[in-house]
Amino acid sequence: MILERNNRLKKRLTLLFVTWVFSTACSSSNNNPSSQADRITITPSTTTLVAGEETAQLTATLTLSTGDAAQNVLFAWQSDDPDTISVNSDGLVTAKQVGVAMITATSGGVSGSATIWAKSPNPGAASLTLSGNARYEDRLYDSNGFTGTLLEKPIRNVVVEVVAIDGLKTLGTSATDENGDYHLTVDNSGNSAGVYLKVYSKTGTAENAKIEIKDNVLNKEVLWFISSGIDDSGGDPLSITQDVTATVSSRIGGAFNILDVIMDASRVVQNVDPCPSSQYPGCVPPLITVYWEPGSTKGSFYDDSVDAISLLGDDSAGGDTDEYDDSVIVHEYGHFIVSKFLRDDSLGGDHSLTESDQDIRLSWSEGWATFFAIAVLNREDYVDTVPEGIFISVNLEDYTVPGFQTFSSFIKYTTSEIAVSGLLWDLYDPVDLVENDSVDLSFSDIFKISASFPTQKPTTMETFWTQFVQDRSTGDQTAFQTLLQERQIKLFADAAEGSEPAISSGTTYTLYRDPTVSLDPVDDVDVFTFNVVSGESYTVETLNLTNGTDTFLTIKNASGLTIATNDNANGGNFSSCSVNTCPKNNLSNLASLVTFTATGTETYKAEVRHSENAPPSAGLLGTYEITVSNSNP
Amino acid sequence: MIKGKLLFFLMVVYTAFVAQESLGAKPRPPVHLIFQQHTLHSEETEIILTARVHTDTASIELLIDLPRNVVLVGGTPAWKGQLQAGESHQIKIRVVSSSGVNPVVEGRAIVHFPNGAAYTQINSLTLEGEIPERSLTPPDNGKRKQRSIFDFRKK
Repeated sequence: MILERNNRLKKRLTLLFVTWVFSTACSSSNNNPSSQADRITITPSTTTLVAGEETAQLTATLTLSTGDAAQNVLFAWQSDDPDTISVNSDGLVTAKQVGVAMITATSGGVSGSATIWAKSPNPGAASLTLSGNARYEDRLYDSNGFTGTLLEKPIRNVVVEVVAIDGLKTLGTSATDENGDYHLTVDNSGNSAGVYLKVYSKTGTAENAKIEIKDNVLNKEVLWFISSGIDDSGGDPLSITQDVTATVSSRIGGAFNILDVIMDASRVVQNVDPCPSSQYPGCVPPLITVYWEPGSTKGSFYDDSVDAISLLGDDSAGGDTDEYDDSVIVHEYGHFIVSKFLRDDSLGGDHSLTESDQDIRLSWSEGWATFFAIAVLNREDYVDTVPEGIFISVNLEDYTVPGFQTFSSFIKYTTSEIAVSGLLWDLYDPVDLVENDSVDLSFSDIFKISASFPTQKPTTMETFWTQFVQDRSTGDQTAFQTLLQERQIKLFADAAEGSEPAISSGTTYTLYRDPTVSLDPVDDVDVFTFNVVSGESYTVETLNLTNGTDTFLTIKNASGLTIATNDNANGGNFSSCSVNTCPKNNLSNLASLVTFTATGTETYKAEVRHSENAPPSAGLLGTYEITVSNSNP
Repeated sequence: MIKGKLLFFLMVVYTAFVAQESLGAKPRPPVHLIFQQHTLHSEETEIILTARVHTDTASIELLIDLPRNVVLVGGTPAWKGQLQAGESHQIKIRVVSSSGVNPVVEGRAIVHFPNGAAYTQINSLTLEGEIPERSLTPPDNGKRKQRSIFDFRKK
C-alpha cells in the first residue's frame, strides 16, 4: 500500500517536473522571439523622401505566432540599393539620389521590408524626352538542356510608361518598336523631378496580336519592371537616354521571353494565306493571357474554359519552370490557336510521349500542338528543360530521345501524339533542315487542311488524311503514304476489299474503304471465308488491333444467316465513355470474339466492320488481324 | 457573410482554373526524377530520390551514384521493382561528405518497357551545407538597379 502511494507520489512529482520543464521551455521561448517569430512589419511601409535632404525613421515590429508583438527585439537593417537610400542600424533611412530602394529588417530568421522612394528637390522638366532600348535576356538551350549562354533580345512592341516618382503618376504611355526602341516626351512640370520607365509584358497597339503575361489568376496583374530612377532636373527641354534590360536573374526576363515567343507564333498564324477564318480576319489571333510567376506550381497547360495558358514557374529544388522553354510555350499556344481557328475534340488529360494507344482525339490535339511548336521555332527538337537538365527532349526528325534506346519503336499508329507531330513535321520540314522525305508543304497548306475538317468528323489524324487526299496531288499522297507506313499507319484499302479472302492468321487488314468506291473511307466491311465441319465448335476473333480500331464481328453460314455476333470480347460498352473511362486503344480492349458450333459442313463467312458502339476515343478506321480456331480436341 | 463571400470566391476560382479538366497539358516523359536533400544532425545529409512514372513499366531501376568523397552511412542507394502509370517510388539514403567542395550526386532511373526498350533518366544534385541566404546586395555590374514587380511583391 505504501509502495503504491510512493509510486503515485513519484508519478505526480514526475508530472509536475515535466509540466515545469515544458512551461519553462515555453516561457523561455517567449523570451526568445526567434523560435516563434511569425512576421515583421515596417512602418511606414512606403514613403517618398527628397533626395539629399530628407531622412525618415522606420519602425519594425516583430509579431509572434501568438499574435503578440515581441519586445526588446534587435533588428538588422539593410538597403538593397544604399547608393540611393541608405539605412543605419537604428532604421533611419536617408535619401541620397533619385530612385527607389527596398529596406529590409531581419530578426530571428524572419524579415519584412519597406519601399522607399526618393525624388529630387528640384522641379521636373516641362518637356522631358526619354528614349532608349528595352531588352531581355533569353536562355539558350539545346537537346540536353540550357547551354548556359544568355542572349539579349529586343523587347518588341510592348507598352511602356514614364512615371513620376512624385505621386507615382503616369506621365505618358507609348510602346517599344521592333528593335525594342522607345521614345516618349512627357511633361513633368508641377512635380518634383524624378521619373522612371515602366515596361509591361503586354503588347502595344502596333502589334496585331494581343498578348499579356500576368502574375496569377488571383491578382491578374500584368507583369512589369522599371528602370532605375531618372533625375529630370537641370534642363528644359531635356533629353535623356535610358536603356533597360529584363534579366534572367531577376526572373522578370522570363515574362518577356514568354511574350516574345508567343508573338513569333502569332505571326506565323497571321501569315497563313489564305486565312480560312471569317471570325478572325487576317488570322490575327485574339487576346491570349498567360499566367506565370516565380513559384507557380499549377502546371503548364491551356484551359479553353478561361481562354488562358498557365505556365510553371517553380524553380525550387527539383522544380520545373517553363518560362524559357520555348517548345512548351508554343505548344500550349498551339492549343489556343486550334481552339480559335480550327477544331479540337480532345478531352485533354495527362499523356506521355511513349504512349501509342492514346485516345485518337488526344493524339491529334497534342501532336498538332507539338508540330506547331517546332514549326514556329523552326527546329526539329521539342525540348522541355528542368533545373538539372531535361524533362523531355524529342527529335521529331529521327525520333531520338537522349537516354532512350529504340525510342522510335514507340512512335507508331494514329494513336501516338509523337507520331502525329512527327508526320506533320515531315510534311512541313523546310529544305534547309535535314529531312528524310520528298514532300514539302507550307504551314499554310497544313493549316488549310486542318481547317477543312467536316464538322461531323472527329479531329484526328484519320480525318487529316482523308482531307489531305482531297486537297493534295497524287505525288504528295504517295509521299505521305510512305511516311504513314513508316509509322505503321495503314490508311489504305487492303486485300479484303472487293474480294472475300480466306482467313489468314497473322495478316493485317484495314477498315478502310477504297476511295474509288466512296470518297469516305469509313463504313468498310471486310468479308472473310472459312470452312467448318458440322457439329464442331469454332472460335473466330479479331486481335492485335492498332490505329484505334474497334471491330464488330458477324459470323454467317452459307445461306447468309447470322450465326453469331460480338462487339467487344471483354463485354464492355464504352460508347459514352469520358476522359477517365475510355479504354486505351491497345491491341485487345476493343477486339471481338465469337464461339459457335457449326450446323453444316460448308463455307462460313466472317464480317468485320467498325463497331457502331465504338467509344469516341477510338478511330473510325484502323487495322486488325483475324484468326479462326477449331476448339474440338 | 464575409466568410461566405470568400468561400464563394474561392469556389469560383477553383472551378475556373483548378477543377477544370486541363486541356492541352504538356507531354510527359516515361519517368520524372526529383532529388531532395535535407541536412540532418552533424554533417549528415539525407538524400531522397523520387521517381514518378507516367507509363506502365515492365520494371524500373533506381540508383544513386555517390562520388568518392561522399560516404554512405544509411539506407540503400538502389531499388528495382515495377510501377504502373501514376505511381511513384522513393529511395532515401544518408551520407556524409568528406570534402570541402560541394560534391555532385547522380540519380538514375532505368525504365524497362514490355517491348524490350529501355529509357534512362539521369539527374544530378549538388550537396550543400545549410542553404545560404540570398544576398540582398545586387552584383556590381556598373548599372543602377532595375526593379520588377517581383521585388515589390517580396514585401
